Amino acid sequence: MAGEIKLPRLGQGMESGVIVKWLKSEGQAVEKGEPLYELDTDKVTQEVESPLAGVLLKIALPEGEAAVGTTIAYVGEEGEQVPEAPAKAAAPAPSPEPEREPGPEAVSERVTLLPAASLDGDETNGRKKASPLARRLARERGIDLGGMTGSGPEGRIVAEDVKRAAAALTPASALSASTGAVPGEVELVPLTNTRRTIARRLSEAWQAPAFQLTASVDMREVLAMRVRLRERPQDGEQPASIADFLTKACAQALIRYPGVNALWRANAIEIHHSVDIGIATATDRGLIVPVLRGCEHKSLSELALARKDLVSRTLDGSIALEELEGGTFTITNLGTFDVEQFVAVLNPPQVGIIAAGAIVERPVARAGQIEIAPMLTLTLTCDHRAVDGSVAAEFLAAVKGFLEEPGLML
Amino acid sequence: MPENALTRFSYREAVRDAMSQAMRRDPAVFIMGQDIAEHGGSQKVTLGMLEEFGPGRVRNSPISEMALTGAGIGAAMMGMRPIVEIMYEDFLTLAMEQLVNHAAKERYMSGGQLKVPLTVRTQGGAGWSSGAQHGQQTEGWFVGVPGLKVVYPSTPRDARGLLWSSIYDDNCVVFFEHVQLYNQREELPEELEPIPLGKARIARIGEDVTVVAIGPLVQEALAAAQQAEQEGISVEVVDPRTLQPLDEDAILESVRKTSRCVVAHEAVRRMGFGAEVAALVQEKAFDWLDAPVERVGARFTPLPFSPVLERACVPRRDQVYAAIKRTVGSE
Repeated sequence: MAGEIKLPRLGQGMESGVIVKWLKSEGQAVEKGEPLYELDTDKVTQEVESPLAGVLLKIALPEGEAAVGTTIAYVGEEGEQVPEAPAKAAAPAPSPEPEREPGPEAVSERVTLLPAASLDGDETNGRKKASPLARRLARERGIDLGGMTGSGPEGRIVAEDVKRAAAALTPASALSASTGAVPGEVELVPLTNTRRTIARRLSEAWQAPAFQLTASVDMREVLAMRVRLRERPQDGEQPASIADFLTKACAQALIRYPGVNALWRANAIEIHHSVDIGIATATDRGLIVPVLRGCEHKSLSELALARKDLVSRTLDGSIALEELEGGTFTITNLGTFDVEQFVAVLNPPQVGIIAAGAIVERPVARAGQIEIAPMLTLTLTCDHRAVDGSVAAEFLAAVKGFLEEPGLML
Repeated sequence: MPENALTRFSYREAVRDAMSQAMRRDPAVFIMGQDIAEHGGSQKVTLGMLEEFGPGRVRNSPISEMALTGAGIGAAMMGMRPIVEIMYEDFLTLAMEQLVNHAAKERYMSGGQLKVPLTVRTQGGAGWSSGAQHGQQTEGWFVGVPGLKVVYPSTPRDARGLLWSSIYDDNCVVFFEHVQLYNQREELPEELEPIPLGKARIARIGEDVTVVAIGPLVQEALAAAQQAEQEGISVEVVDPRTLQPLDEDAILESVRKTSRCVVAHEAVRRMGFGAEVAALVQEKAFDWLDAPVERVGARFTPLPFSPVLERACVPRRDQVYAAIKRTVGSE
């Protein structure tokens, strides 16, 4: 009996995925563990390996969105029959979760409602005619070609059709009607999977009773140490940046105050003793937070090397899904943009996030004297359900202490 | 007269001017061909050059394309920069051994000790009822021979500037001229402006579809573009000018902008230069294509002598226009 390949759950919170393309075609042999198709989740696009060995008998979902658990292909012995019917439509199966996002849902509804006959009519051997450009645009904008009618020669879906469908998915008409703006003056950016995830998670985070604490940190010692480290022969070491000092200071402070290195769960607070810090990274696909693991064991130069590698792979999109998961605390840094101070939104289920601004020279009163010192403003946001103000204050004071006397964190 | 004033040049005069300017400057340059001296060549391109340069440098050859080309290769290897005229490109078949096995290979096989800075000028093309043996377009054959460069200008300016660069290239260049272009005119400065080999020219800027055209089809594509514009279709016309080496970047950049591509030449469609361009585009711009690449070329038949049938075989503006319409899906 032919084995079914179901859309796997590749990470926590993954409910559906978009099949971008198949790396094998029907009738081809496939080994267990061999890359079989490309899947776009709400975080990354990655190759998924075949869980079975045999001949790829049938691709039930050539491309488009499906819920986790949907049968997407059959693998078995050559000539073996596969069951008819299931998984023809790309619609995600009903999920137990009551709240669904309206955007992608709307697409899949349209797909399911289409009569099968019209689909078959436009298909050539099960493949929908679409130009390479149309396919690329659809892939980039997370649009399913399945339910679309092509306006090109021989019913081919062309780029224009995809753009029109993308525009229809956004509340464009409402927008232009209410503002009275001339259509065409408004640029519509259809939501990507990444953007949808950002929106959903940040909206959830906004529900948490959060509070903020702010501290100013004298950065003279860190800056001096950074200069000294840079002047030393490097031996291939990555010179530490301010962000690396901050990561190191947070890691050491989190070990001392594990109440901040925690996750808020429905029935418990999950305290972690390994410090896995999320590094908020701005990419052209939106905000992505890769996780730097085991920070408490890493030296400053190891942190610098690991952080550089992680960020560069995040920027070029080659980061793996599992590297974006499991953080216990997050650092977000807008110092390079000359922002002096800002308040970060929690990254649930984490209970703490620290926001770093730019280092700015300020007059500081010290022992009756006014001095000029390079000052960094840190703002800690905590989930009050899990963290009390005094714990948060002690943690923040520890971070400040480590940065003002870096020798203490060695 | 001011320095470098503009003068009206025909394509024919532009070709002659490049040769004459090189010969005035450089004793290593000379021309050789059938009936090119007193008679001025079958298309009068070399008319008057005998008077200026004398029979030693404007040499009539026997009626043997093989001997003529072989002599040019020998002279080139010995340090001259000969220009050989093959009366019609149909007759290049008779010089194939010399071109393919010698001109293209000597530099490679001698490990660079020998160079063949030979320019083979030839002319041809349909449109004057010249029949099956005098009106073919053969440029595509030479693009497939490693070691040869292939140039096919479509305007007087390009003809003059590219012929100059061909003469001074240290490799054998096969230089195609089209008989229907000889009387086309353009104002050019007296001072010659060399045009480097391997650089395309954007003949027209547009947004919706790229037409990659060579030779006479450049003018036809421009006419088709004008017609399409009246219907709101914006056409970009790219003239590679040099077919080998090919300016791939210019073609790809244009196609990535317009997302549609038509290739057009007068040679037969099958195995033509356009097939190579179409392959290039699908290989390197696949994800930008919104329609299949269209090819415009002559029908797969010997060129008919009858003017009516000739017109039915050879592509002109209408065929380019139809292809443009097909790519934008408004046929």
